[in-house]
Amino acid sequence: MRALPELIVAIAVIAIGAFFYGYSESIETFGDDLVGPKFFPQIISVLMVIIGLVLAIKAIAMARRQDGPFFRIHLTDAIRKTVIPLGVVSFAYAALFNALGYVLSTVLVMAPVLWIYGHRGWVKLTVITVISTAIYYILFIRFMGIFDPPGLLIDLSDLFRW
Amino acid sequence: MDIINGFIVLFSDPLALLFVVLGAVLGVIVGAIPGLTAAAAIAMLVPITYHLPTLPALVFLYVIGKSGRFGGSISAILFNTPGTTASAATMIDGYPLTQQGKSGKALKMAALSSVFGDTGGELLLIFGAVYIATYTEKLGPPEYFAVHLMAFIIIGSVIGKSILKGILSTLFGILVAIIGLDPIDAMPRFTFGIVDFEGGLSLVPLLIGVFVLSEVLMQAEDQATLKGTWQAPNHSSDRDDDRVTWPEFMMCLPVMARSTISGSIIGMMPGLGSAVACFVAYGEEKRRANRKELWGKGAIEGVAAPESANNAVSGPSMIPLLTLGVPGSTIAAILMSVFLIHGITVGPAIFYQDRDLIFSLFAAGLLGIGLYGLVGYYGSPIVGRLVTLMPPRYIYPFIFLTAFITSYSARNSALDVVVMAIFGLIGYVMRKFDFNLPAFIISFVLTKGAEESLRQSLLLTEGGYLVFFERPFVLACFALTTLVVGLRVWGVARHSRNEKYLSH
Repeated sequence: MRALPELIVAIAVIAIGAFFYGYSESIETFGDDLVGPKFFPQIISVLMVIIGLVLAIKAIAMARRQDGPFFRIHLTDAIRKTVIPLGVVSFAYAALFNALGYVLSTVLVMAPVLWIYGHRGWVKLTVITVISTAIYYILFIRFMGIFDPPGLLIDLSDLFRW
Repeated sequence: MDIINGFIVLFSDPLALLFVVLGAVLGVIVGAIPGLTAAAAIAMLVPITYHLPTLPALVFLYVIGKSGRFGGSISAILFNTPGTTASAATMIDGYPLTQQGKSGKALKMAALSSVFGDTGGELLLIFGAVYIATYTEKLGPPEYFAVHLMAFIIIGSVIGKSILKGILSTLFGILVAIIGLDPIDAMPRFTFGIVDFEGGLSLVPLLIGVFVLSEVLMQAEDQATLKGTWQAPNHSSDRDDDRVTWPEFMMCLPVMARSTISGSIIGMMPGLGSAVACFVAYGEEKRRANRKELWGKGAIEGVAAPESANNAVSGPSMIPLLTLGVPGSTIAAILMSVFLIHGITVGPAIFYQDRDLIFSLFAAGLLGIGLYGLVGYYGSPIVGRLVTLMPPRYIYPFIFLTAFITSYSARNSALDVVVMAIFGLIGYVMRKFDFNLPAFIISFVLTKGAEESLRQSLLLTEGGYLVFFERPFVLACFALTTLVVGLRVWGVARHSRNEKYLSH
């Protein structure tokens, strides 16, 4: 039952190509050179649209051959319980990095990640979270000298300066 | 000779020597962890090397790339799971040997074959690159564009399951690379008004997202279906089953030699890489074998052939990078960024401007081969046991943390972390739908050079496209591209016909 996901991907490719072709019209150019700043983006966008159309046709042909309902996407339990939550946690971590700084964001995120990977027990999760955050902080921020981003909402970086 | 001078420079730099040793050991361990490729490890380590001097930074990553290719054979042989795509063919005969209690024999043969192949490839690099550079320094923008175009098309169409999706992956990589300022007129393109995007997207968070975070997502999915358990192998009581005997070594020597040659040739072609080399060598040696019926059931030559070939790719894949500035593999693409960070422009001039550095790198390669060979020959079973003690559900949460901090550390940029997260998800979707991640990354790296050379060619000739058809080198590139793609299309068509025939 891959036809619908393949068709969605094909449509996404066409949409991306069309969007970037349209966006490339806003690129400023000097003179009337045929091969200017717009040339590469437009060639690539057009090629993406063409290949996207071919993939869409192939997906429709696949749909005609496949058994079972077309308008159904089967998300496995594994994807629902691990990939989607981990994806959400990834974006949350990226957002929290700036908002709360490295230490707090890592502490908040590590426990859900461990949970997704099948670890259980609040003691185990807490211990691993605290120790791993401490090790990463010492290794990367202290030892390697990577700049500790101050949190825009809550800034705990002063607590760890010694 | 330059290579002797290279050894002298290397041995006079204790930090560089330390990182050669570290790279050899770390690469074997990382390569042995299923799912964690040498490219992914190097992607995470690149920001760390920014704090190092040039030579230690380069030798560290270069040696990890070599030892990681060998390391993948450990999990392929012991756990029937290739640690890297380069070891996928090793699994076919390696795992049956483990099932027969001969894992020690298989691992030692893998180590010997890897050292053989890698040394052959490295010697080709050392002697061939300088020779080739004397020709490539005479090339102009039209020739450079032809090489880039050849790389785009071959990378996109030859590897991977689908030609269309491979080409699409290449186009997507080019599109992402276009974000930023135009290289000639400095006009902002696709920046969405965000000033941080004017410098373009950084390679490091892209790499980490596409290779590392996507793997973290894949491993999480595998964990949920309980695919992530590794069992320690059984051992036979026969001492000969734990070593490579002299007759076995002599029997495999011609196999290793032929596979080294094929791997080296494939390594020189941009984008083909170890994954292609190992299967080409395996297929060819099986075809030549007297006792084909033993292949797939634990033939020791079935380990020697792919391991020699996949490691023979390593050195020659640097030839297009050093002589043309066109990376021949994902690892070469990453090394290119390290060269640039340290202010070194890759291309034929590197042999004049940074000759000592280059030959020190070659010397480090030879030293690293010897070191990982020793680690592999005597230490593979230990590495295998370490891997069984570290199941994925313990390793990958920490890889998740490492991915985030290392992508941040590249430019101390929180935006890079966001980019990494986005491309992690994109990388996961690309993998699920059989898109080609190496094509995406390599085309991202190649785009700037390709566009510059195209537009310079047309500026020099005032818009005349005929310039591309007046140069013999350009025509040779187009012919080679057509030949390679034609063979691929013919292969796909034949495979499809055979499948239809069998289904009827």
